Amino acid sequence: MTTTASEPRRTLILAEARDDSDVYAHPSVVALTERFGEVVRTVTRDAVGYPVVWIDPRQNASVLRFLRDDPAQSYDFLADVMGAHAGVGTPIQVWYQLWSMTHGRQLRVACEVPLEDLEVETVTDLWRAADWLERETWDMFGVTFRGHPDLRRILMPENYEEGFPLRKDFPLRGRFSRSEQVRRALSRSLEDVYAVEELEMAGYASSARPGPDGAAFAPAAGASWPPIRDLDPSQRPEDLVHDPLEGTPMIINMGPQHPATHGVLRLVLELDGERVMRCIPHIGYLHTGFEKTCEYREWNQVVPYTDRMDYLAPMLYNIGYAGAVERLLGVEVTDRCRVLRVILGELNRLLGHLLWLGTTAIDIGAFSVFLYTFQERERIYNLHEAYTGGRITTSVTRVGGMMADLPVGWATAAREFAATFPATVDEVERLLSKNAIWQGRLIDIGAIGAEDAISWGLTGPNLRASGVPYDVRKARPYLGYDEYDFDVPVGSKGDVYDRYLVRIEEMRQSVRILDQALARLPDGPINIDDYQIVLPPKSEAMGSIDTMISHFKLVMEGIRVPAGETWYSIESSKGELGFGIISDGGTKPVRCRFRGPSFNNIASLPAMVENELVADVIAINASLDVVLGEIDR
Amino acid sequence: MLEPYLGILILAVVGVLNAAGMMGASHLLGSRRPTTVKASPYESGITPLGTTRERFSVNFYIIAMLFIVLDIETLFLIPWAMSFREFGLAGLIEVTVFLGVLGVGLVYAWRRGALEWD
Amino acid sequence: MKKLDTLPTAASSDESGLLDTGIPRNWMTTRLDYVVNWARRNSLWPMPFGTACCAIEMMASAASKYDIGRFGMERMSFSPRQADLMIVAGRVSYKLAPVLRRIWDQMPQPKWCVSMGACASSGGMFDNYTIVQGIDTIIPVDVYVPGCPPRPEGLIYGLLMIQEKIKGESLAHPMARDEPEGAVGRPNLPPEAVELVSQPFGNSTSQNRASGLVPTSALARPRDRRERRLEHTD
Repeated sequence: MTTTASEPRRTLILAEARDDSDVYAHPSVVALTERFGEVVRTVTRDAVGYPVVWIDPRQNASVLRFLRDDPAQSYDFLADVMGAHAGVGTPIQVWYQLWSMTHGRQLRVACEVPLEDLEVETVTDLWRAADWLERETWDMFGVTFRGHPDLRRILMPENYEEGFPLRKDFPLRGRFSRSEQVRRALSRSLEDVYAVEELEMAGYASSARPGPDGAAFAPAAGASWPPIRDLDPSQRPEDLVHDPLEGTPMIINMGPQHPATHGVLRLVLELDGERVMRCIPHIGYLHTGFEKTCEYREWNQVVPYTDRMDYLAPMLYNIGYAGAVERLLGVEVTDRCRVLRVILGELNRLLGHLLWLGTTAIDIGAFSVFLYTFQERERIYNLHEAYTGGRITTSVTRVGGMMADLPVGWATAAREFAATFPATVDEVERLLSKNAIWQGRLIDIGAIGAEDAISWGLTGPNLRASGVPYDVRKARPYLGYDEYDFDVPVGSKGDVYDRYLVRIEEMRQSVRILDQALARLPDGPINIDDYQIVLPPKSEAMGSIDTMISHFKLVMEGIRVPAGETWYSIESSKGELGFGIISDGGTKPVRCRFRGPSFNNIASLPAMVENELVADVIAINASLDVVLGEIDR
Repeated sequence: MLEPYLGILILAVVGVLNAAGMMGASHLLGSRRPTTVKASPYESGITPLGTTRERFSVNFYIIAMLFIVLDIETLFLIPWAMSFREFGLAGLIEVTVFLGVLGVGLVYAWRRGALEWD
Repeated sequence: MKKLDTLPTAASSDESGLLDTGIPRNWMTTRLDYVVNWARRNSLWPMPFGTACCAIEMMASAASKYDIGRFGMERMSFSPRQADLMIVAGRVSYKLAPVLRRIWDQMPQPKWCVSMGACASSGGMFDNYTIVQGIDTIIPVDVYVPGCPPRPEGLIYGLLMIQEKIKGESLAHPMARDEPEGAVGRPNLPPEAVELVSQPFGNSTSQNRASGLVPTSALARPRDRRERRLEHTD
């Protein structure tokens, strides 16, 4: 939307958002009501605009199966499974966020599960992505997913006894005292650290206990060879002939403290010599309780928390979160703010990709690239610091605008960066892309096909390298991305080399967008002029009583977001970054869900890593470009 | 008469003194605080699972053997390279034969797939 | 002066002499201290225990612009056996706590610890069910570097402080390097001290009250702010 400089800015309330009648005309809603009748309890509207179908929780699997398999619906992509608890004693909501790659349609299927019967059927057979997402919903809310192959804690420790953290009756600081939490943390046994299947892989009876020093010890008496999982149920262990030349598989831990796992990720690898037979990732070592903590913060106070999740490209989180809350409020930011958010978003995409490039190169062995990319990142940090005061933790957006307007000369500095940056990408490409060692280590490693990638919920360059041209900036344009001229690189084989090429090309496209955005950065106010949402300038606050009251309420209470819910996503440097936000009309969110793309990306690692060498595990892990902050939240 | 070897003697003595000095200094000046956890195997901070008394894959052995052979070959090449002028043509022919013999072995290993894992 | 045949043990008096040799402290040993400390502080091998955002700033201080290689610390050791300095950069959750403690225990003496960032020093902005409220509840810390995240210059300042600390050490004072078997794998602070350092402080205690001028929601929220208050008067 455009206005001339002389017209006063008005906030645009999306009036049609309040009228739910058109959601009943949505083709999926029509099909569902026709087919399932009473199972569909009601249909509401997400603040973004697509319908939300509330169903009977006992039929969730059949409804979702229909939505995935019916050719007119074909919701082949499960973006998110999240739980939500409105208040103590209320039912727990389970949201399934769907996207159809073929039809380009978005839909949410939600159900309210009563506390006394907290069970729904699993959908892991429909989408591989549901595996970890349902585990997380179990971990945080206690909702049992009937039929799930491995329903155990994922973010909290295996032996966590304080309950289910995201429920409203769970206190923020946990149920036990701090000293008790420390004591429990340091007194973990082998069974608390390894999953049952891993203990079986090593040949332990599951009631084995470690020796007094906790060090490795011999398997329990009667442990079988080969490992239990390989046994055909009809065979008895005594009947098997042990091949004298075969090696026995070895189980090692890679991480959590490891230079090449890109964070505190733990991979339990079962190795046959150098070849990985099986990989079981353990996450949760960086679980920070962001989602719970943000329920205790005012809407603008959540922004600094969003920096710390993807600390490699923080402004993308700031921008996405502010965008989601603005959807709930029904406001559109000013033109200047919109273009500036695009500039900052693309700068941060470069920031994220540069770190990926540097750390991947150093993992594979090319150390100089790490130094070059970090030097470029320092230049972007200078821009961050000049604008926000912080290098990494920028907290640059506010609901309705930005923290402040740009300092004088910032746009010129940004233009200069955009002009000189491509030379570094070219230099790195000269070093790496045609390098025999680089190609030998990357080509045909960790390939994943398009259908598998969609089923696993991969997004971002990982998905595009497998040949699926899905980019949220093109599929559901926001911040005016449809007005910019840029391409989305798509690979073909889905191996590590394709992911590398896709990201290198994305950096070039980001510079392209940067150039266009910097050229069209308009003058004008940076914040909307609704003083119920943004802080008024002090001169006005001191001048008029209404403005002073607004200022007072904003400082003491914070903004109030009308009751509503939304699941809104943007394209971050790692993939589709989703924000599931529920408001009850108050000053704090009821539920603040962050769908970090790395969570689904890393869930697909075991599939990619099977039968690869240990060194390839590192290359594949690096190519997924994960950041543990948004996996563990 | 033995003067050319004085340099080697000095090198050997300095080398031994260096290594012994470093180890001796650490031994004398370092702390000694053995605890059971400190002596336990390191596996990224997690208690290791399973024993290490497993049967290793034979491929590790093959890679190690190949490495030793080629490393010793390099070791033998160095003295020749230092004084190849004195050895002249005869030396060149000898070292070519040496490399050829080992090269045949390398080609054999290559063709048999010993350089691939598996 | 102690007799040479009775070698002092770790628990014995620290005035008597060098750790395991029984030589009493004199001008020669102070010269030796100087040399040993000079060698140790100028060749520290840090072990980066990087978890979150602070780890990125630590990587930036290892990169060309801030370059801790100037101080001899570019050789980052990821194995605790070869490291002297553990830099805990980032928030530590209770799930990660035993890993941290174990790696600290596996580092041989002499070892030092830098707690980088607000989250490692005190729990930072995460006063909740999952973040350790200061790693000093778990391992002994020598230098705390505040910041969220601290700039690379801040980390370097902290590393220089460690170097100063090493300058002041002496081989004649073995108590600092004491590591009794019973302390291994246990928290660093006793339970009462853990409670004391973990209580909410600062702005976070007042915010909920101030914004409670008008009730924020009709739905019940757990009144956890009043729990476990030891001695607040408001």
